[in-house]
Amino acid sequence: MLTKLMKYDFKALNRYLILIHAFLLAAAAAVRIFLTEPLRPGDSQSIIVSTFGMILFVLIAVGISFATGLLTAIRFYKNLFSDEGYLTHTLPVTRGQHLLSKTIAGSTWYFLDQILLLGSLFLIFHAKPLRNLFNANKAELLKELGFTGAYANLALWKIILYLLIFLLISALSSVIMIYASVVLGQLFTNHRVLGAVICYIGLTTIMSIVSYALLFALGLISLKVHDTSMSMQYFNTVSYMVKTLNLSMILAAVTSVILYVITYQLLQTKLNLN
Amino acid sequence: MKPILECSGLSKQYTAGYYALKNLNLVLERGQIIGLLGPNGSGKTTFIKLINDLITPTSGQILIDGKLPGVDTKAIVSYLPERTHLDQTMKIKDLIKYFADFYEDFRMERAFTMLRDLNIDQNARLKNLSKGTKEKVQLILVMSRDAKLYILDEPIGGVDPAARDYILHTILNNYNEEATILLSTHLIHDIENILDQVVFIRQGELVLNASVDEIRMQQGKSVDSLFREVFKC
Repeated sequence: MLTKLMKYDFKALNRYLILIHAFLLAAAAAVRIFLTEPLRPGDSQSIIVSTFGMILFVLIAVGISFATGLLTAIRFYKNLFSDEGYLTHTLPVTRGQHLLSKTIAGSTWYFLDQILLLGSLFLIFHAKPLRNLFNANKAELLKELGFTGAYANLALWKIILYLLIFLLISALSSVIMIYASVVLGQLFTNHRVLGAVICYIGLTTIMSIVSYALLFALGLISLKVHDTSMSMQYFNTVSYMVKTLNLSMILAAVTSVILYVITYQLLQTKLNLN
Repeated sequence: MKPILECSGLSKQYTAGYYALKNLNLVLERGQIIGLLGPNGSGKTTFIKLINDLITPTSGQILIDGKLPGVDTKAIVSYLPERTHLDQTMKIKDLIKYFADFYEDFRMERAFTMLRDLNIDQNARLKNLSKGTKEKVQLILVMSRDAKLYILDEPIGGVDPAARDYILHTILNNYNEEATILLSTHLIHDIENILDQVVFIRQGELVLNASVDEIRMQQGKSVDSLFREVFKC
């Protein structure tokens, strides 16, 4: 039954998400062909035009990521809690299977969205003029970024694998948080959608405060601008990023497990369709 | 053999002090067509939603074929809600595949035959159909299952009298004799002739549970006139 549920959950999401991500790749290809490939690094006009193009692309990418989250939330809400819920909940399937199927479909798309976003950025920046610029300054750039010491000569596959794991956990946690908000919103009997939005804002705010507090507690951020441990002389971007990403991965994994259990319990005990 | 449905002390409270259903005790036997009758807001839909596990009871319990509402009961209950519960962006033939995918007792051929009888294009998307046609499609899907219990909430509420006849005809022709149909409506006159049993509920409480023959023989009244008498405003 889980496979059948997933088939329909993917089908419902694919319908719009394939289209908008095709648009993302097309936009990236257009930026590459018309802006970054003909870029002349010394020409200020060329740089200005490319910068505006990049800003536009970033806006499109942010919009598409937002739309991915929104469409996932709409599918979850519509299929389980609107009139369609009258069919969904009368299928001979457990609530746990419904939740699992939607979590797999939603987070797969969230993951794909981020991969495609990174892919399209790679497409844009892999243009010849930028490649030449990078190669000419490679040693200096890598040193500045902190690819030194333990991080020197880091294999590319290790970086990619680490990024994939990070993106997977982040996709799962984002989707679980959306679903938890929708289910918590159902407790606001008369304003269920508004309740879901309020819960989402509440949950993301709590997450931000907790992660900020942890970063602070672990000394990864400091109130002092010239804290010795943070001074530029010793500051290593890669090392800092790895520590921050590790922390946010652990935090996301823990909160995801908690929210998934809460969502499951609420679906089991508090389902009250209008 | 266990009754197809039994509920004991079943209550549902939506807000403090307001009970949509209050201490309902009821047993429904197999092989009958039962009318669940009551005025608007009497708790008919709440009862039906509880049977279908769409809401959680405040107290009491329901047993369907001896089991609490869950995966096993959903496999034997075919439910027609009073609203469009299908994904309206889907084509009719895909909806049929959807039902066939999830319900083992779904008979595809029966659904396609009924669609052909009614000249409904299986390639049409549900959202492009008229309200009446949508209701017919829903009914076709629900009646194409070989379920043990059919629950039809206001199946004839929104359609014209001609379509009403077709729907009743469809219901009668497609259920097997051992199955039970629980049919909620306030259009009693139209369905009176097909009912074996009636259950009257008012303000969430059971008022009457009797066979149609009993009502006719003992009280000398039709169900329609008894309903008007009991629920007189």
